[in-house]
Amino acid sequence: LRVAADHAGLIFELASLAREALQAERDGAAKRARRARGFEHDADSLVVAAREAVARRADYAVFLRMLQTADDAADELEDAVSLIGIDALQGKPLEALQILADLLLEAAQEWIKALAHASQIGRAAGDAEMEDFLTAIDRIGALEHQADDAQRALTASAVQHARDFRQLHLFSAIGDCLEEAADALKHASLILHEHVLGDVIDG
Amino acid sequence: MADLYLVLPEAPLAKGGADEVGNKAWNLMRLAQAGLPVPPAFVLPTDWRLRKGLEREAALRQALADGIARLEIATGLKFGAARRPLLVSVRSGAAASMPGMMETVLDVGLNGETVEALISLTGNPRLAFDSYRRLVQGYAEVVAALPTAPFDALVAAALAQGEASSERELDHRSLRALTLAMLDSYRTLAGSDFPADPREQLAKAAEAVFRSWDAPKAVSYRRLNGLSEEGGTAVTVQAMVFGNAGGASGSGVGFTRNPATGAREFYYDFQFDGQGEDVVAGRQRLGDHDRLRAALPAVFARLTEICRELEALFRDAQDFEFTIQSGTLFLLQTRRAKRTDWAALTIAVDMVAEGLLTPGEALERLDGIDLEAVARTSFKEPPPQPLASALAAGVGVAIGAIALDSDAVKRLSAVGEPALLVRRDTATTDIEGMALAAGILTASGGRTSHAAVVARQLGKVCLVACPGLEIDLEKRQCRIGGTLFDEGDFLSLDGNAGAVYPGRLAPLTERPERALNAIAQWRRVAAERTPDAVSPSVG
Repeated sequence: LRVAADHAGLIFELASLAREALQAERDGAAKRARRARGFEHDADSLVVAAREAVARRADYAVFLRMLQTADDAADELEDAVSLIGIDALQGKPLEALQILADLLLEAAQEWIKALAHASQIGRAAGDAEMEDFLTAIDRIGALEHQADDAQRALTASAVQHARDFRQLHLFSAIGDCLEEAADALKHASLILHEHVLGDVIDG
Repeated sequence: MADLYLVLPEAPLAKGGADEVGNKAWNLMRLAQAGLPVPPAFVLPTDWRLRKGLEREAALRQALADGIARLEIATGLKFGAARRPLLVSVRSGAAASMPGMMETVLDVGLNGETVEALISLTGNPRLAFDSYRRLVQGYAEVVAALPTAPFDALVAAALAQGEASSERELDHRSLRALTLAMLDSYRTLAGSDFPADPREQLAKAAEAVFRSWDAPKAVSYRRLNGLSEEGGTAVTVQAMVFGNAGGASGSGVGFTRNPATGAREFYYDFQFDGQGEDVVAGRQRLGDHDRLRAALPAVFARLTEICRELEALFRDAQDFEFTIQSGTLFLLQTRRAKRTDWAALTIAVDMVAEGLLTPGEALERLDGIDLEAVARTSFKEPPPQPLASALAAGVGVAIGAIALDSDAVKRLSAVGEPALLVRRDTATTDIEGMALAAGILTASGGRTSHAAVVARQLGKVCLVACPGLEIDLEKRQCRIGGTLFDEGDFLSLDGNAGAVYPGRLAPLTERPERALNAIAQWRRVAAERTPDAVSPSVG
């Protein structure tokens, strides 16, 4: 879980970068895209390391599956940061996109919490850690639903208010990336949930 | 006297008022009672500084333990716990405000275990490690009295390695590495490990804050401002709220009215994803002034409401610090706003017109101001092309020779030459140079940084956050907007417009006629009613 926590930290950095990119001036776009590539590259490296670990210990397979799923979120967020830097996004759809980016950052934070609490379950900690863990998992699911709704609102707003087709396409593509990222985090959280309830508690 | 007072909505006010608990805690108590959003806190009264004897340390630790227990109940967090940890700030506060002259230690309660718990609690590893490295750095400087340069060098190295322009751009891995490097540096410089026990951190931090009353810069400030050496500082221990929680978080300083001109407007500096010291210390360029209103409109609207609520509560213009943690607003302190004499007149006249003050009260507020001397200067229109446009933190204009540190100001002043203190940032240790200088120009900081506050109080023209200002202390030169100047060359600073000009411009003088007329009218009315009622020092 330590590798997964490090990986989750990188997803958090990517989600922060996406959110910041929507608020900042465009002159830092190239630097943000470069940083995002760096985070994504490091996240990939952690997945490779996990793959090698599974080759040595087959019981780590569940972590590899979880990490690969979460890594889809990292990929999507990197794409989002890159797309945000292409043009100065404007108007009402930008507000809808910022709401979606806020949800992603919160989901990334809940993913970190879920992994941190999971690492304590089965040790000295009692019911409180399990309660915290389940709360974080529930929250990730709820945020994925909210991200779905936010993406639909973004699409509607972009169709109505986007300045031109270039902006319409960008709003739509960035929204897709963020929604896919939320989806990936939910799936990763369900794998972790299953592992904790099945292998750790029952095992 | 009591060992401690609580700062909670239901807690009683200190019987001895600001003299007993310091102005900061006294005002926090009043804010809490008024239902304004204040993080839970407790305060150790000023008389702890004077308590002597062997049992003092044990009594202090007991008072801290009692206070912490109340904060734990109020917050649902636990100090030093491996789950849901409580962190606290330890702040100074004397009866008379002394901005930036005494010490504060933030993020007390962090160690290798609680930093992980903070990540579990917030899901924000950047916040956790940024807070931890701030604690180590602050504790090293304030409590252990270690030199700051090695820690600043570690920050500079981390920025270079991370290709970051400020600490806010460092990712959590860089901040974790920086924290570990600071812990190593602490061990080397102090000859012992950084204390991991949160209770030890708290007790030592409280003692250091009590001691900061006697720091040379605090003594100088009291001497320059005619403040009494009696009393001391109280220590406020407050649950931390995090302006560096990412996203919709940040720290700011606001004035309910413009402290330079007195205009009724929300005058503020704000930094997203930063803690209060980022704003007040003046070490960073503050770029989020306009973004706050756009990014968090509801919070901005609440802040403008709070300006009016604070003025109704305290019946004077206020200077307040605030933190936004994940979209939730907290007030960390409020105090009477320091202001220029020009602003004092404008505020008094406007507050009478708004019904907040009576003319008699307004005249009392202006007691001690030499009305004949109140004026502001400007340059003749149209001015020449400026070298740079900075943020104006005080009204008026100043002309003088460039002085790159306080010693240079003293040298120039000694031969009768007006000097302008030109610095990357001004620290509160520059106070002697600021007092002698005709004006101050800095590359960083904001309009509400401590240095700007002090400059306004001293009646100095002050320009901060000057773009393109580079200083080479070795060559005793500076570059402004691409033009190279030697120390001793002349500049003209326009504190009204924020402009910096080369050479010497001629100043014009303006008087606050509207305010002076109103004051004359109040005095006439007062004299007609009770001929002896008006203070002779006014006017």
